[in-house]
Formats: sequence, C-alpha cells, structure tokens
Amino acid sequence: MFQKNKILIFAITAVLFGFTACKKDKADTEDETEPPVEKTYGFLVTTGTPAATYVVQTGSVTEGTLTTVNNGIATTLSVFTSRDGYYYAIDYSSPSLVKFTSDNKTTNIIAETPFTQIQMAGWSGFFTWKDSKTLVMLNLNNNRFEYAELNVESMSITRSGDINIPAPAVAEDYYWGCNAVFVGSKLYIAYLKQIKANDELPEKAYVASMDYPNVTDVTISSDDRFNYPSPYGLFTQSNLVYNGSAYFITSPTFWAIGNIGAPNGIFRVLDGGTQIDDSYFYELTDPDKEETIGLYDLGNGKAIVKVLDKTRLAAYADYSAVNTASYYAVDFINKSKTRIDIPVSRSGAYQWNVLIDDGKAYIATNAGDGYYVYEYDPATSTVKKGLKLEGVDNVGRIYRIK
Amino acid sequence: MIIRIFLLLVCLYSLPYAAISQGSSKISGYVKDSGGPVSDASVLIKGTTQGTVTDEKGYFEINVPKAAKITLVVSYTGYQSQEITVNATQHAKLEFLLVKDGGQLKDVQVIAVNKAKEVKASGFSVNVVETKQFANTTADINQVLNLTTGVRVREQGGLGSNFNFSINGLSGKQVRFFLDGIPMESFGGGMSLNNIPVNLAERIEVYKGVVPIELGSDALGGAVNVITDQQTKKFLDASLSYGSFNTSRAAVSGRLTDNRTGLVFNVSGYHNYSDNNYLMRNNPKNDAAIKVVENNQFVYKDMRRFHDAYRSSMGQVEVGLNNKSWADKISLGFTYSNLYNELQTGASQNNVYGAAYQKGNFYMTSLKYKKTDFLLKDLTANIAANVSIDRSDVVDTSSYVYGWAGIIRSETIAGELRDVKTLTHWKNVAAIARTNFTYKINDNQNLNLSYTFNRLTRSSKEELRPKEQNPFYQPNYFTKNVVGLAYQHNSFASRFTNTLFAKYFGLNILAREVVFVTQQEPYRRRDTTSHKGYWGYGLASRYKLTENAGVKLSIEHAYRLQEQEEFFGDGISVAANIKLQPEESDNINLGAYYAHQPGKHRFSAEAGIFYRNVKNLIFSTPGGRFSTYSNVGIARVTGLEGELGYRYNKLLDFTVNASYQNAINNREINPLTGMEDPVYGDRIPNQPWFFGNARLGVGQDNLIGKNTRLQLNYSVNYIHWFYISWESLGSRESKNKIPAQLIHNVSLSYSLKNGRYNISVESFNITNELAYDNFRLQKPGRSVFFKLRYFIK
Repeated sequence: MFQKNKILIFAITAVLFGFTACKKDKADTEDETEPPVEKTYGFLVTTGTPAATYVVQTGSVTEGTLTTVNNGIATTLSVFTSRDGYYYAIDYSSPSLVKFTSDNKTTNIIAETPFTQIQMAGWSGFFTWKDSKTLVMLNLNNNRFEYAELNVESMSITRSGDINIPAPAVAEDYYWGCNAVFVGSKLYIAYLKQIKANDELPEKAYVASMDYPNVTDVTISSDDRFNYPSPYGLFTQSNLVYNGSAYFITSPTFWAIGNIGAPNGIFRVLDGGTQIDDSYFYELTDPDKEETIGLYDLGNGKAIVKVLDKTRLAAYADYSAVNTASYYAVDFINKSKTRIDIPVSRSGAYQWNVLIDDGKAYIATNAGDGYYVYEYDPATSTVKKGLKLEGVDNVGRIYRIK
Repeated sequence: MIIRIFLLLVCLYSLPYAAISQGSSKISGYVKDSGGPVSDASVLIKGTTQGTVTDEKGYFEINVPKAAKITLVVSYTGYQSQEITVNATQHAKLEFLLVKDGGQLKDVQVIAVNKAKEVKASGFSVNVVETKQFANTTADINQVLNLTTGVRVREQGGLGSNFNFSINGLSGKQVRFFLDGIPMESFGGGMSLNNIPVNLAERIEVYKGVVPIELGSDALGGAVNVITDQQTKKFLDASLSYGSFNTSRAAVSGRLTDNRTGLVFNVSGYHNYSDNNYLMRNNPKNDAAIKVVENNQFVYKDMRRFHDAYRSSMGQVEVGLNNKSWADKISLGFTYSNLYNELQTGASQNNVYGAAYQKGNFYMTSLKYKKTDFLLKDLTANIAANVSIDRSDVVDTSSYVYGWAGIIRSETIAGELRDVKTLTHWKNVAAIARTNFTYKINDNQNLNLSYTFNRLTRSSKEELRPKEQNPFYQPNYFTKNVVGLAYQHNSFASRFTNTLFAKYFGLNILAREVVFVTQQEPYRRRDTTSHKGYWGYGLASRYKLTENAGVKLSIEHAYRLQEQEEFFGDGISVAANIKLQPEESDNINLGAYYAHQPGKHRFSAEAGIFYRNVKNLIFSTPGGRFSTYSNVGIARVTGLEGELGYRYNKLLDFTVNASYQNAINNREINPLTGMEDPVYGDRIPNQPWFFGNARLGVGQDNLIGKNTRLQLNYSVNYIHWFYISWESLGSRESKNKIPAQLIHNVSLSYSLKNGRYNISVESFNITNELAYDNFRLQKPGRSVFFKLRYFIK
C-alpha cells in the first residue's frame, strides 16, 4: 500500500517552499588559469506574507546587498535546476517544462515544452544531469520508477519510460525514491523500501545501477548498515562523484521519518561498479543528537554537510524558527570533519543553500539577523561574511548562472 | 419540467388566494401629496405594531379585526403625519393627502418610516438595498450588492462559483452572512449569496465594520443580512428565466394569511441550473493564456469550459400563527436545499479539472417567535432557533490529469484537488438559537439584549484513507456564544441618537486532533479542548441636521474568532497552533446623508469615510513539514465612498457611486523571522482599491396599454486595475496585475396588470469585456437571459 499521507505531506511542503535543485555546482570544474569573468549568481528566495517566490540575481556573493525590493521576478514556476545561464522549471499547472533567463526585471522564456510523460511531483521526483545537454528526470509512481530525458537545447523529451526496478514483493511495502547520479554513462538511483510489517520503517538502503540508456538491465544492491538515503531529490544535493566513485549521504531526519536512530553518514559505490561498498561507511554524527542534510562537493575528497542540533528541534516549525544548523567541511576519504566558523543558524525546510564555485563554498544562512552569504575557502579554512540579502525570509537555492 | 412545476405552483397558490377571509375587514386607500402618490409611507393601526407601507402608486391595504373602530396613523419622512378613525366593519377606502412639514421639525411626529429608510438613517454605516427594483432581473444577491458602495464581490466564474465578499477592504471570513438575522455559516452550499434569487429577499442590509448586536456573530469586517418579507399578508411571486450557457432559474415565494385564525403559510423555493460552458479566451497579454497540447506542442487558443455544471435547489415551507395573546408571531419551518457543483479550475485557470465535483443535501427545521409586551410591558422578545444537517461529498478520484482540450495523461496517485485522491463525506450538524430582547424604557431610551448560541458538530468519513488519519472521524465540536447588550438614547427630539453596545464572544472547541509523530507511531490521536472569551464594544451615533440630512459616527472594537482548522490543523498538512489569537480590529465610520425633494424631483447624497486598524491577521505560514496558521498580519485600511442619486417621479432614476480604499501593510517586523518587513507600508496586494458603479433606470407607465409599465435599466461597473503581489517586491516590469474592467449590463422589462405579469430580457456584460476578478480566473463573457414573472399581493 502506497503511503499516501506521506506523499501528501511532502507535496504540500514542496509547494510551500518551491522546488529547487541543481547540479551546476558540481558540473563546473573551472580552469584556474582562466581570466576573471563577469559573474552572475541567481537566488531563489521566498518573502512576504503570504509567501511568494522570487528569482533575484547579483554579480557578487562576496560583498554588497541584494534585495527583493523593486528587484527580481516573482514566479509561480517551480524552478528546480540551472545550467549554462538558463533556469529550468516545471509549470505543474500546464504541465510543462520551462527554460528561461532572467535579468532581474523580466523573465525571458526561451522554450516551453508539454511535460506529460512522468509526473515528477515534489514528493516523488528527482533528477540528474547526464551531460550539459541532457537532463534526466525521474519519478517514483506507485512503486514504479519512471524517467524522462530532456534535451535542453531542443527542449524536447528524447526518451521516457519505466526503469526495470521490480515492485516490492510484499504489496503493502513501498519504495521511496531518493536521488540519482551519473558516473559516466552509469546511472545510479538510491532509494529505500519501507516495510509495512516493520511499522513502515525502512530496513536497508538500495542502489540500482544501469548502463544508461539501457534501463531494462538493472543491478540492485542493498545494505542494511544504514537505511535512509537522503530523499530530498528536488531540494538538496545528496550525492557527488569523486575519482569515478559515487558517494551518497543518508538523512534520516526527524522531519522526514521521526526519531528512529538510523545512522547519518556517507556510503559509496566504487569505480563505476554495481555494489554498495561494504567496506566503507562514514558515520558523521550521533543520530540521537544530530542529523545531517546535504552533500555538496568541495572537490579533493571533501564536501560540505549541514548538521542540525536535533535536541533543539521540538516541533516541525522549529526547523525554520530555531538556530540549529552548523556547517561542516567533511573529508569523506579520511573520515574527518571540521566545523565551519559561521553562526549557528536556521535550517529552513528545503534549502539548497550551498553553492560551490571556483573551489570555494558559499553558504546562505540566517542566524536571526537576516540572511548573509558566507564564503568558506577550504584551502585556508577561512570564512568571510559576504553578500547581505534584504527582504528575504528564506533562501531556497543559490545558482551560479554565468 | 421546470415550467410545469412553475405553472403548478402558480395554480395551486392561486386557488386559496381567491378565498376571502370572513373574520376581518379590509381597509384600503391611497396616500398622496401635492405631487402625486407617496410610496413607502407607513400606515399603522394606532397603539399596535400592525401596519403596512404604501406601494408605488401610494396604495395600501390593511386587514383589521371586524371588532371596532380603529385609528390609522399615516406618516412619511418630511411630512406631517395624519390620523383617521374608521369603522372597521366597513370595507373602507380612504385617501390621505400628506402635507410637507415645511422644515418645522419640532412639529413633526415621526411615528414610523419605511424600514429601509429607517435603517439607513441609523447610526450604523449601512447599505440598504430594497430588492423590488431588481425583481424583474435574473440577478442573485451578490450581483445586486456588487453595485453598492464599499462592496466588492469577486467571483471565480459563472453561476454558483466560489466568491469572495469584501466590505471596505476586509473580506473572506471577516464578513458574516445572515438570513433574517440567522447566521448562514452552517447553511451548506445550496444556500448562499451566489444562488439565492433576488426575488426571495425584501431588502438586504450591508453593515460595514460596525455591526448591531442583534446579528450575533464575530463579524470583523461587516455583515450582510438578507431580509425576507415578513409583513405582507398575502402574496405570490413566481419567476422563471432561461438564457446563456443553458442557465435556468426558477423562484417562487408566497404567503397566505387567514385573518380569522391567524394562521400563516409561507412557501419559498428556487432552482438554479447552468452548464457554465462559457468561452475561455486566450489572453497572453494578461498572462492568462489558454494552452492546449496539439502534436506535443502548446497551441494557444480559445476553449470552452467543459466541466462546470452547477445545480442548486431550495424549498422552504413555514406554518405560523399571528396575533395571538401569547405570540405576535410564531412559526415552524422546514428547509431543504440541494447542491451539485462540478469543478472546472483550481486557483488558476491553468489548473484544469475534468472530474472533481461536490454535492450536498441540507435539511433544517426552524422555529421563530415574536412577542411584544413579553412578560413586561414594552419588552419585545424575538427568538429564532434552528437545527440543521448538512451532508456533502467532495469527490476527487479522477484517474486522469486534464487540460483545456481534455485528458492529458493518466494519474494513479494524485487527485485533482489534492495530492492524493480523496472521497470525503462531510456531515455538519448545526444548532443555532438567537434571542433578542428589546425593552423600551421610555420614548427616548431602549435597552437591547441579544444572545446567540451557535454550535457546529463536524465529522467526516474519508473512503480512501485509514480512519486513523482522519481527524474528523469522530465529531469535532465548535461552539460560539455571543452576548450583546446595547443601550440606545435619543435626545434633542430624537435628532440625536446614540447606541452604546458591548459584545462578548465565547468560543468552545473540541477537536480530535491527529498528529503525525514518528514512523513508529505514525498517528497520535489527541482530543483537545479550548475555551476562549473576548470582549468587543462600540458606539453608533446619528445626528439629524434636518429631517433629510444627518451625520453618522460608528465605532467598534471587533473580532473574528479563530476557526477550528486554524486552531487545530487538519491532521494532514496543517499543524495546530493553540496560541492563535482571534483577528481583531478597531473600526471607525464617519458618514453623512442628505436628501432634497422639490416637487417630483428627488436628490440624494451619501458619503462616508472609514478606518480599520486590524491586528493579528491570520495567515497560513510554512513551518517545515506542516504549515500552521499564525497571527502575522497587521493592516490599516482607510477609505472613502459616496453615492449620488437623482429621481424624477417614476420616469427616471439615476445613481452613481464610487469607493476608494487604501489597505496597507502596517507590520514593521515579521514575527516569524524577527526581521524588518520589506513590505511595511505597501498596499495589500490582490485587492481592488478603487471601483464604482452607475445605474440608470427609465420607465413609463401605460405606454403600451393600460396598467402597464415599460422599464429600461442600465448599469455599469468599473474596477480599477490592481497588483496581485506586493507592490514593492520584485521589479515593476514583471508584476502581474488584474486589468481594469468596465462591465455594462442592460435589461428591458414590460409589466402588465400593475406588475402582475412581467416579462424581461437582460444582458450582462453586453460588450463582452474580457474580465477577471481574480488572477487567471476569467469571468463569463456576454450573456443574455429571458425572465417571466408573476406577482400578486
């Protein structure tokens, strides 16, 4: 039996926070010898009562002020990724896929394509870029994994269909699709299965691997040392690729599943293989005290992970109202982590609020005095307070647009 | 079928009407002045409250006991009243010639005036609409009120569509509706201002910001009271209309009174049906394109609505007794209404539905009692009670996703309205008792005590979800106790009237809350009770400068109580917030009115300014997994409105009005974030702030035959454009706005036999203006309706 209530909760929350996602930050590995270019950063923010979502852009995240007052564009589109200067969004009402640019004054719609092949709702959808022209969108539809491939140049759906992951043997059990990543042409899908007979708790984590676009020949690997791959496929970066291996984070947050004491950590599939590496798991923290969200690729075997103080989360509303979030630089090869020296801040519910650009991390946080972007340089482990965001209640995404 | 029912009702009703009661006499006559007939003059039997008012020809009829001599008192504002004693055993025909008081106010004894004028001249800021001028139109009550000052009714579509009623800038739950003083909150969808035909009402009162205690409810922004005819002893009003979008409407109301026994029979009912299949026009200019997928590409074109049928029916019978020693009036009634409503769009016309619908049945029994000199001399009791059951189903089980061209794709999980399919059977049981006691201390002082008990029991069965997840699986209770006390004092020969009042709002809730806790314990049921009490108070004053001119001031500290879902959530996506406070507002109105009637000309003018300072506005706010309702809004509304009228005898009637309201966000700090609110001082978005109406009626009696009347009415409605989002957020170039709309309506009616038979043709939006009350929710284009009406009294 599919867990409709959970789906609904995710859907509504997704609507409230807007859909945000991107792999832009890991797709770019800049050549350090390139001359400085004029940069553009895009923010997806919510503000106002009742809340509305705005796209605002700026040339720098290290200084100055960015405001929504008489600036930016209100949007009802669900923007979920960006690449090479374009935003990509779903208009669920049409439904359609929309490619657009912004100049802080108007939206320039480049293309709008009917999108009826899969649902890709906020609670069931996730995506990954195969290459700079190919966006693969995935969806879990009643225990059936489905996908649609978008050529972002022609804005046409070039492939779509079901992925051959068999439905649970027990009809009342159900999958939760989590996140996906490409290593070359190998597509990995991390997911979990909640077991009805086990109070709907997941017993282990799964990774399905396939040589894309052959989605019928699928190998499934599972591991019971952990059970909750990060399920926020549209909202948070949850995996990365390092030296040809795929790394995934687990996020059994109170917010998603309650306090089940499951491990928060990083697991991997080595060297384009098909099996979860049973010799590796980096447990990041004590699950009774803290929980982890997000895995942002800093390069060189390091990543940024947001860690929440679970002891201060008494209610769901506290995620947005109480300062619980710290950010760590994690060396997932050597299994060590270092707290980044920025104020403990509010987490927000769905935030892809970390951008890795030119080897540095830019983190937008609000410790109660408004939003600021902090620059973290892993080379020196130094932190600088940068751009101030005014007229902003929540930062959903930061994009490097140009 | 409707026509046959209509004719049957006419025949059935006409039979007893022919009977002449034997136990009473009828006195009739005319009231005139030097210029001709005086309509709306009061004719009272002296020493009683029994009486009537004159019609357009100045004619009146009054049934009196055969017993003895009686004295009739005839009065009208601005005229000296007259008395005459007649022998009731004769079927007397009288003629009164009223003489103007010539401004000698101190000599005028105003005994009673037309009720509408009396209400208008009270200290409250109120629109009073007498519906007889609209009786030959196909309008519902919303459409009529939309032509009045300070009122905006924003409809989402055609007949029966959802609407948002706004009074002086406050709207939604902040405005309460009443039918003969009974709160309509629990009346079900089949009885609402968007489907009650105008013929069923005698007049409609719209109180702005400050509401009399008799309407016992938490009306923060104002109240609408629909009043049916309670005076006319015998009448029948039956009508039938048909027109665009396969829309048909039938309405009947009537009364039969037996003077000998005092028995009164009332019947009323209506039936509305429409396909609402009007054309949706592609309008990219206003970001309201109609998109259709053809060959896997979007094509932009006009499309017709295809899933928006609407049907509502209502029937009401009432049996009562009049003029008994123990009751002036007592009646027992039964009401049934039925609703079927297909849903075509969501919050935007881009969200197209093709299968979702709602239906409902509503049953109500009611008891009314009125007695003057109740227990004490000069104590009047007015009591009404009703018990109702409203059963409604919301069916959202579509297996498909729809667009304007029909099915787009199949869908296994989501419904159209929600993200999962639902089939919900709602059951609301409501009990309402309203008691009102008025004690006349002396000619210049009144005391009024009002108590309203309103209890709603709400439960539901959701067929597609486990009952453990349904907070309404067991009944939830919601009780409001509203007590009001008012003291009215008249001074300076009743020129200066002050009404001081206080209200107590008591709120008791029992909610079966369902909390999603953890995966191990997914749903925790929790019964929560809440008892809250709040005090409101106010003042309504009027000073008459002359008999036809005065100034008015009204003030109220008003509340809108928290609703059940706002307090306790819905167990699915809305979390509880038991700290939630009611919305509260300080409301002030200052107004003036003037009328001048030289000969057959009548000039009138009304103007008002208003102020609302609203705190604790309740908004749904995101808070992680669940949203919650929070007191996060502070707003200040100021505005002005005015109306000018001119009438020449019965030939010409012209009215023009305009309303301006400036509602701004008065919140400096966002309590949720603790940060400065970037839109402090901004105009509240998505709300009209300037609008106006003009009406012109031209009519002539006996133009085509004796006892006929030909009447041409024209109205125009203008709404200035407004932004749908905060004015200072985002670039000006990117902001969407609701475009200005200018809607013209025309009707032509022809009446025979002094208004007994009426035929009319009417066109709404005759220029086929592309109009939106809400963003991406297009209203119907031009429509034409024909109406037949039979009226006798």
